[in-house]
Amino acid sequence: MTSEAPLIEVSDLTVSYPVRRGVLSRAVERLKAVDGVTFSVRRGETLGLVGESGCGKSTLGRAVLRLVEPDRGSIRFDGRELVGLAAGAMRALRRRMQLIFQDPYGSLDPRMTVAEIVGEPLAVHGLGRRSERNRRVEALLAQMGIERDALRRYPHEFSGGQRQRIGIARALAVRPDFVVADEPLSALDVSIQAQIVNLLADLQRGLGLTFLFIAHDLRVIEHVSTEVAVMYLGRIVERAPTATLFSRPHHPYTQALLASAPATDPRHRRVRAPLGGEPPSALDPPPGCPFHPRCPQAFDRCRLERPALASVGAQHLSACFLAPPGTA
Amino acid sequence: MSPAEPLLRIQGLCTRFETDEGEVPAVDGATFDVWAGRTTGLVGESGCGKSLTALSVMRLVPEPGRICAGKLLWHGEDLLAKSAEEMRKLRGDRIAMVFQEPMTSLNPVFTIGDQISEVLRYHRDAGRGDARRRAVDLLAQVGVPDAGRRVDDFPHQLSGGQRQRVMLAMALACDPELLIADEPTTALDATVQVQILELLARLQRERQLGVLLITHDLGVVAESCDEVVVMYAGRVVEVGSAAELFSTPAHPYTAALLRSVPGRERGRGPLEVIPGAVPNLSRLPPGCRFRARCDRAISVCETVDPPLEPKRAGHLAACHAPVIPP
Repeated sequence: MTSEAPLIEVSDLTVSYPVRRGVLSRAVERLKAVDGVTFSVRRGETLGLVGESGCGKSTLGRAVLRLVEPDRGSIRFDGRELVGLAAGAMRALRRRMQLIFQDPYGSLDPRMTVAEIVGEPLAVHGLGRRSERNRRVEALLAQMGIERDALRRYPHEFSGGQRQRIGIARALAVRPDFVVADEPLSALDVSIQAQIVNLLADLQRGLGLTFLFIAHDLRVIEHVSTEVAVMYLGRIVERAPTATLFSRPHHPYTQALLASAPATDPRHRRVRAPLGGEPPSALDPPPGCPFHPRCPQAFDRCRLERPALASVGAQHLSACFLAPPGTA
Repeated sequence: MSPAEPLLRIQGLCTRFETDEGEVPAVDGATFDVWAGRTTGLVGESGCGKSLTALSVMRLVPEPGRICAGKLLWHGEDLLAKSAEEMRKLRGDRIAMVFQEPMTSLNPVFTIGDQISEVLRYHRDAGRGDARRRAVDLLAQVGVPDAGRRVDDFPHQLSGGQRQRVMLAMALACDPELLIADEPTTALDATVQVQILELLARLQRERQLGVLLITHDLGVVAESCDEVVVMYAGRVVEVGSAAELFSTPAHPYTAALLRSVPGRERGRGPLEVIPGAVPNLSRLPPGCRFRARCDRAISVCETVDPPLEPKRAGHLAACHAPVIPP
């Protein structure tokens, strides 16, 4: 099942935004939100993408779907190059690639009924006659655990968890292969998060979905991912199978992130020296390794030269000059 | 080493909202204590009444809400009997509060130095120069680097973590006895959240502060609280020490909440789920509010709302069928 070719292959993807600075907003600079990112996801698997706010993880998720245009790089979906693909061909492919949003309040049109919201992608892609579409919408909502009488109601009549289910139903209506889930849990209460995690896992098993799962919560990432990529200031700084990343993190930033996760039991509180400072601005990235000003293990080379993502073990990549464990 | 009397004793607090759908009992009979030198965690999901409990203590309940019953005993004196003027003198002086969104709680057109100074000028009648010197000192104490220069910054020039430090500096300006912190780290990144929690713990130790920490995050509670108060649909459903509550929760809601957090047990099996959703507060069912979602409900739960009562020494729960420790 894991020997298949990747469904999605991204290489050297770079996305920047224009930023106006200066007194008259004349000076235009480019802010590199995503900087030379490479990864792939195999069919039926989940790549967890984790990082702090502003690290570029949401931009990366949107760029992979070509909802923002990359400056350079390549995105191959099921063997086809998406970068530079004509609008018509892209629209046809878009049916197979969908997005689940963070905010179940802002992402549903308040003037549309639930049936219209979930049925809209089917209509847009011209899938099925009206009666067939209605049956599909009913079946989807039933699958999401939403009662049948919900169809004619409006988003404001539902709780956050139910709205997220409606958003998921909309994303899955067109039977996609690949889904980018951008912080789908962070607006929800803990008890509801667990319901949605389980729902997504069931759907993945049942439909063979492939996920790019973006989150800042390491506990969620560990639970849902086959492989994990850690982003810092627009770059992937470490990538490894989930068990490897959580048991043997290599990059000092990953180690700090894992150490920052709160305890789950007050009897296991740790005395710790928190990482100093805060993530730097992507407009003024530090020279050398972007993490060196906060890194407790930085040495001279880190201040001058930027480390490339390189192998430090089986399927384990890290962008750090420190020697891999066991080789020093 | 705790004193014999709690700093704040909340007894039967009821705060209601008048809405088109009728009276909503957003806080319904909340009862618990906050002690000097200790951190009490107030946890629950959105809409459970935890933030409103804090605003009630500050007597800052927004319209159309009002406090309609209960006592808020501050050093034995009822805050609900105080005049508006007396409350203004207490707020920011003896009782201080920090909020989740430091950007919306800071005034964007004044420097942070001005805003910290204002607290000292109002409550301590400090002169301009003296207040500014104290502001720099406070910023240094909460770990703002280069405080002498940052004091002239405006809020938008600071990062989220630095703004939360400024809020703490302002809250601590008059050396309060009680600090109410409402989701102080929720808007922050993981590595910055740890910094703020450690800072809060250090300030509390140094100043013997009583802290009421409001959060939805059980991780934050596990990390920093001595006592925990769990709220559900306007009710306090469980009170106990953090160690006991996490190891042997008595209320089925607390137990289920703890089980639903990913990462407690390794592996990718399905997570434990609390079925259903929180009931609508304007159409509450009779009996226990958690009954419809509870795996331990018995017939009495349908008719009698369980009172908060001791289940074990120092451990209270509002449940007819509490979880029996293994």
